[in-house]
Amino acid sequence: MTTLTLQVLLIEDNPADASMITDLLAQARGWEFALTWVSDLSTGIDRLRGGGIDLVLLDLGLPESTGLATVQRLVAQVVPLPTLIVLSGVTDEEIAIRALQLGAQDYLVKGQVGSALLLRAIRYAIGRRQAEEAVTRELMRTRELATEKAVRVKAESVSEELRRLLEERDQMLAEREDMLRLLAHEVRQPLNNASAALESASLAIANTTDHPETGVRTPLARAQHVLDHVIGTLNNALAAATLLTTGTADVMADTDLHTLVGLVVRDIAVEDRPRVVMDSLTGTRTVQLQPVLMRLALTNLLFNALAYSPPGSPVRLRIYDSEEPLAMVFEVVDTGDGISAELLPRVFDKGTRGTNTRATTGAGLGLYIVRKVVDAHRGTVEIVPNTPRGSIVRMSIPQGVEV
Amino acid sequence: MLPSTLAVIDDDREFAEYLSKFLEQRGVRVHVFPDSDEFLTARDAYAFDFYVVDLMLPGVDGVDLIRLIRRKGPAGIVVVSGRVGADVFESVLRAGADMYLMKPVRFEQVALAIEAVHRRVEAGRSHASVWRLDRAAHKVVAPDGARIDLSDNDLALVECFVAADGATVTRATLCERLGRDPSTEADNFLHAAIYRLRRRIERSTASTVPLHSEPKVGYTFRGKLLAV
Repeated sequence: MTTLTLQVLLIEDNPADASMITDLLAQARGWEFALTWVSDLSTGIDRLRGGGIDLVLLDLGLPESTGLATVQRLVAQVVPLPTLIVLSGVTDEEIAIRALQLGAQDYLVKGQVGSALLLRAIRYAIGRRQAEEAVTRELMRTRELATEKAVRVKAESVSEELRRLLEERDQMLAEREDMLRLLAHEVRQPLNNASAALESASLAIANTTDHPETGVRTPLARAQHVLDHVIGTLNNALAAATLLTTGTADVMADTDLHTLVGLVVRDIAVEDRPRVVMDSLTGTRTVQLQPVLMRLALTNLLFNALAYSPPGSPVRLRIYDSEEPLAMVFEVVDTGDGISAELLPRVFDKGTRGTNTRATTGAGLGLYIVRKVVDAHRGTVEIVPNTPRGSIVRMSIPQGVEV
Repeated sequence: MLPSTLAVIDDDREFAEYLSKFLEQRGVRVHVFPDSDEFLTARDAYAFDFYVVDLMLPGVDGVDLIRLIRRKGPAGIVVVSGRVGADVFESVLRAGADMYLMKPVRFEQVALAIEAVHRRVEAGRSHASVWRLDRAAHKVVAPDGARIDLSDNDLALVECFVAADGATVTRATLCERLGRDPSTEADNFLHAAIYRLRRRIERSTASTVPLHSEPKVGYTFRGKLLAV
């Protein structure tokens, strides 16, 4: 037997019954009870919420509520509910039985209870209650374990999936790298060599014959033009795929402006070069920029301007100093049809192509690359209408910056 | 003006062959090395006036090769490579290359780059190229005799370079001479001042201004500079 004091709450409106229960408990041997008596349900519920009660003896017939409703209120308002024994009169024994289904551990019929019966009921009720709790705990623990396991299994399958996706991605990136390398080395440079061979063949023919055989030179020039165009497109695609996506480390270098412009002009097909008019309005020779990127951007701007303006019309490359902000400004000026208002907002996006080009192919990467290059220099680029016709693309590249 | 002798170190035989033909037609004696081992074991490997180097080489890596060549002397080095990426440019320039040309290139573009770099190298090497600071007149006198007016800021900077006598002048020193607090030098004031100084000189003379940026450290005037 336990030697602990059992805290009992008696909810009973009839003082006579209360006194009887008190007496019965007082006679108990081997138990020690601390009895709290309240005469209405609300006070009882308040007391229970205060905690520390091990056992509730609840009379079903209280002034505020009678019968099953009493049990229902108690069960609903006190969580967790201590061990509960319902006290009923002879007439409501059936209700008392139903109270068991609501959560009471036992019931006693008043008037038929002796001390021994009460004690046994209390002992069994507490035992049942503990057993119930144990089962509930076990159930909850089982449920928790099941949930845990489900979560773990799910996590494992998700991480497995992630790992697989990552591996797949690495694989694809590696293949992409290989493909880009293949394009750059096995396709682009040989094409370039072929173009160079054609160029020197053209030169040789021009030098050896007094009257250049136009019958030979025209197809040669055309072949070279096609090659150059393919190289240009390939170049842009490779640049967009590698150069402009791998990091944004700024490698500004002191660059000879004249050499840069020379390189850019020589990126243009030989027969188009006479159309390019240089308009250098600056005495500055050393500029701070990323020469590889700027060559790409300027070549693209010139190529576009040549393609989108009438055959034979001049395209100007104008370069001048800006004081505030300290910058070098590069303008490419053409006399084409200009850019439609509809196209203008997305003209620097990937894949945007004009409709009035003479060039038959193109990936719409030119101005996208220009914007990326300008961003890498923390510069600005804008397109304004040229008068009376055509467009001016204006790139401003900050100077006096950290090199 | 092209250099008289030049080494091409590139495993793209076709490219190397066409390029050497192109350059030889223009009076350059070209030697082609298909890989860095062959170059490194060659006699007089470091006696060339100029080097054109590819990056992806069998044997010693292109960047290391550039470092070796640079250690041996000031000869011009142009990298011609299909490799791209900001890290590549940076490592190549750091190793001592003078210019990076991304393939594809036409041979005339390579020639143009060689010429430009060679001109700068020669200008720096020539002992005749003496710059002078005329303190009384607030002017710099270029090797070709051009006299360039200096602003107060320009003058302060040039005085720093005179005092350094070819050594690197730190940013802190330069900022102090400009009357700026070096700890708040986040506004590019110094860089802008240097840019304006060089621009002012370039507008008045064809002489190459041997003013070099040492990243994160300061600036060096790599030429003879005397105050009078």
